[in-house]
Amino acid sequence: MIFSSATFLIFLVFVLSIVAIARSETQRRIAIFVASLFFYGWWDWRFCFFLVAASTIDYKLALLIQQSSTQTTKKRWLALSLCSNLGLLAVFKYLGWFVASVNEAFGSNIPVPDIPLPLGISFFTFQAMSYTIDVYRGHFDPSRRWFDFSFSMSFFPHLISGPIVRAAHFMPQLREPHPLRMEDLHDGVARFSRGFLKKTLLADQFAVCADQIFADPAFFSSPSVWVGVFAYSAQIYYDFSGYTDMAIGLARMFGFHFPENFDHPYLSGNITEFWRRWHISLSTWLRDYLYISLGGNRKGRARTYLNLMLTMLLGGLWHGANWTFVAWGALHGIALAVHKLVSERWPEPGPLRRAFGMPITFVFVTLCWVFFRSPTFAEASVVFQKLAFVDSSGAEWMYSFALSGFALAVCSHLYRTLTKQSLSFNFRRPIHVALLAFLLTNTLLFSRTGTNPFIYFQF
Amino acid sequence: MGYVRYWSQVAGWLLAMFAVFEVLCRLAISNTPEMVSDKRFGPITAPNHVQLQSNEGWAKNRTNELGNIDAPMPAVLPEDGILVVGDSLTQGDQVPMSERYTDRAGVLLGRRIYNAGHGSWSLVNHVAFLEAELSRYKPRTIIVQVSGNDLGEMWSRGQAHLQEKGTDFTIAVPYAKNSKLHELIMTRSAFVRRFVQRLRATFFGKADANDTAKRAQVVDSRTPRGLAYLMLRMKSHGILPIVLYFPTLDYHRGCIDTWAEAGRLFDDAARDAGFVFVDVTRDLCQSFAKTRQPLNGFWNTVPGEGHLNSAGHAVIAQSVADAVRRQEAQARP
Repeated sequence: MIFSSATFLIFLVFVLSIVAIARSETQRRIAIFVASLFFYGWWDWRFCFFLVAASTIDYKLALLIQQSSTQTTKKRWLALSLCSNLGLLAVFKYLGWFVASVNEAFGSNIPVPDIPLPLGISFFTFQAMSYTIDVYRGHFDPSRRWFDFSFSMSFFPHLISGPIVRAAHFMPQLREPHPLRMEDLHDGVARFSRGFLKKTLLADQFAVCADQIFADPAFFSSPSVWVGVFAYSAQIYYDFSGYTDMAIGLARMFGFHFPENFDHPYLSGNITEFWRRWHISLSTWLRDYLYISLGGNRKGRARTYLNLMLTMLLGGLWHGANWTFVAWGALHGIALAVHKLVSERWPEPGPLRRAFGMPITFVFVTLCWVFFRSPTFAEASVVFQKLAFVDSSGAEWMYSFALSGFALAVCSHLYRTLTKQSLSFNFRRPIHVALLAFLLTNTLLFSRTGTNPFIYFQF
Repeated sequence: MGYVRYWSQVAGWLLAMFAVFEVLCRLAISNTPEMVSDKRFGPITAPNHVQLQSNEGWAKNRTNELGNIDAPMPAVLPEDGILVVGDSLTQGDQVPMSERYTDRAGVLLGRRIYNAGHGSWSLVNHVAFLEAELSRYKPRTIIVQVSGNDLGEMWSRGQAHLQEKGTDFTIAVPYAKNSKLHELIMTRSAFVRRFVQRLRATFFGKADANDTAKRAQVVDSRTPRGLAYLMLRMKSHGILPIVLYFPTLDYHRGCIDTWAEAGRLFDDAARDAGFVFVDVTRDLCQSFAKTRQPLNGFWNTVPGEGHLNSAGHAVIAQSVADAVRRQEAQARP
């Protein structure tokens, strides 16, 4: 059940209707909780038990951490929580890849386990870990009610692909009642619509181009591959930020607030700024729970660079069980370290750095996506050969919808640069309602039929 | 703002935006031809109308007085005219008229080639209407263009199809006449035509059994007998057509016909009937090997898929011209 599908829209209307007629906050919460499990179980009902079990373990361990009288016991319970969450990730996400890598490296023939990957496992395990770590650090009192914690973990708008909503942000909201309010619905629908259009009008069109090019890069000419690589860069941004807009909008419809996850990252002047604007909930998670835990920048220059590298390597691995993701993380780690070094030596960016920073950062990030998108290094190498015009011949293809998508993307980014505001709907103005209807019709008329899954669903 | 005032403003803005859409559809993005009912042929594209095609490429063509995308009919029919019947590939969907293989072959041969290609028509349609077409054009040579699509469509009940009658076959041409209201709406607005077409594709596209069969490239067990029947029906009109086969090429796998079985079936049926069979697979693949540019596909769609592009038409024009010369040389005493 993908947010941009007709099935989901029917589901949403049904859930909103139930919540609207519920008489108490408890009834509303139960309705949303059941709907969340139904939403998750739509893919595979067995994973509902998995989700509830994972939530229950962390709920209990957080209570044990708080109740422990000594630091050693607290540490033990925290270690158990981390082991259980990382263990789930290790078994479900990385075991097959690890065995395959061992087989490849040592020529062994160990059977590769084929374990189905529960959707959103990377997101909700990170969310759960942040909960127990915050309780351990004393930043936050654990929830006394199992239902509240399970509700926060399973709340369907963020369940599959984030944003990673930390308990410290979400749990306090559960103390307040959340009846359906016209204002919330209005804002939520406006935000959801923006995400819906980002996904269907832009990301899905860029996907046609990127999918073709990455499926057989050797078939295409060098300029076409450049277009395909930029199309993927645009696709991943509009796909994921569209999903996030939809998630934030959905939460808002039910009266909840999620943190922002994107802030026009392709307008960043350097790679450090990029990571402050891209997948903010993950980058801040990595900063707060990994980079700082490793010592951050408190243990000397060499250690700072090492910590940056380690954080980004693990960040890369978080995205998927593949060496190409590790390479992607490593490249970003190196870039962050280099930028840190440069910034320390020349803290005030000169006019030249300002002028060239944005395009250089954008092209660097785009080239890094090649590793992110390619399933193997061999395929990434074919893409890079094409990009370097080693063999530039091949089918010439400048997909017209991608080109018009680029124009739209540039316009929206220019609007943001000039006005410091994002394009958004305000349904109090009739022209915005009409514009939304117009754009939805446009999408129906020109987009591809069918529904494409979001890229981040695989993580 | 009052409730009524708010929604009337929304409606006003919407109307203005759809008016913009209508203008855009007429000027640049329409791809659904206006259809009219013809007594003999059923629904055909409207005569003397401009057609914009933008689904894959972009072409602005005009139909002639017969409703075909073709030059106007000459006042006196030439004795050496060539008639080409086929589907949207012959009609030259998405390419300008002058770049189609029929028009290019006409220039190469220095003769008038009538293009009677109809989108979504199959071999069964052409055989059913052959007598009417022959009396209209009185051609010296006739070319029947076929492709794998024709095999699936032979049995598709939604259009002209074959029905088994004992050991023989008959041709059924279902013709559901549209209501006046339907025709009125569909002929007045390019935007509505596009909208309705898209709605149909979105909600009913997958339910098309024929489409599924085409995708799966399944050949019905009755097909060889059915093809033999259609060839005999053509022969009964006293003509010896050239059967021109267009392959379904996969350029990514080194240019192979993914439905080579279809080509073999047409080849067998044509040769058994004593017709000339022309398979353009080799010519297309040679061109691809030389240029590495697929002969199907456009900038609005995926390269290698969909209709023939201008380069593909150019290659086929040469093959067609050669085939006509060969056949006529053989027929000469």
